[in-house]
Amino acid sequence: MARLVVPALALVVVTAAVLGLARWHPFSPTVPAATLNVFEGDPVRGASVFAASCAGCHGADGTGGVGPALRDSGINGAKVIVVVGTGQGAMPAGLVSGQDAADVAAHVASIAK
Amino acid sequence: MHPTVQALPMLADVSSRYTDLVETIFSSAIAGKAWLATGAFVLAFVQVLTASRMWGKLERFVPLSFPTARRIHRWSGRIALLLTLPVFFHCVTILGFKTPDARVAMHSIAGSFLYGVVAAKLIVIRWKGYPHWVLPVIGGSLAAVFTTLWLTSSLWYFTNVRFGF
Repeated sequence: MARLVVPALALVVVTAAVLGLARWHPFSPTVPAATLNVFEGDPVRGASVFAASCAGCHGADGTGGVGPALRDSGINGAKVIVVVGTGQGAMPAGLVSGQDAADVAAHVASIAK
Repeated sequence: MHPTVQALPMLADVSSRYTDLVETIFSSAIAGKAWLATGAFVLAFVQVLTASRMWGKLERFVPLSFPTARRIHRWSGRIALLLTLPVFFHCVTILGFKTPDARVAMHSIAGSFLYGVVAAKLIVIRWKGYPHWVLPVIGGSLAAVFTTLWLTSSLWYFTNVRFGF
């Protein structure tokens, strides 16, 4: 039984190291303000990206589901790009990015008014 | 971005470079992670089947000789471990440990244990003389961790976000 100490110790040490790195998560993304204007969003194309990648949680019409309602929420496009880029709550960062993110932001902004 | 990393220009855009690299193949970094984790999960299932065969179980369902089962077990384990590395990088260094809801909390906790269990299993395999029950228990624990991780990430992605590359 004494030999079990070694693998048990390895389990604890490696788990603690991974946990420490995960708490630090040194490469967590941010969306610099300068990037917010790089892409011009197309709300029509954004609707199809939204249907494919966002509707599962936010509802097909944006009225919410597992995720919060976006329709009539008043959220603006810049805020959407930041949340999509950095993640929020149960939504991981980077579900969509680049032009897709800009298009989704334009679509969400259009239904959030 | 973490302040320490922001101070290191070479590391500052690691996250975006990783995302760009993954997006050359997949639609998003999350989609890539979901599929790589699925590959690792399938290989973990192969691990359970071949390990069962090596321990004299499931001989009718896994009609392999012992040496063949052992070879498949070793290589499926190595490839599964390789597939988890990009997932580890994304989950641990980019997304981090989070507990906003039960699914993400379970995923974060199980994920923290994955490589610890792998390390313990490798030690038990290399060093002989452990009680007969130790290796199946550790192997079963590893399969349970893999299953928990897949159910709380890839399955969630495929059923809630999109089923596609």
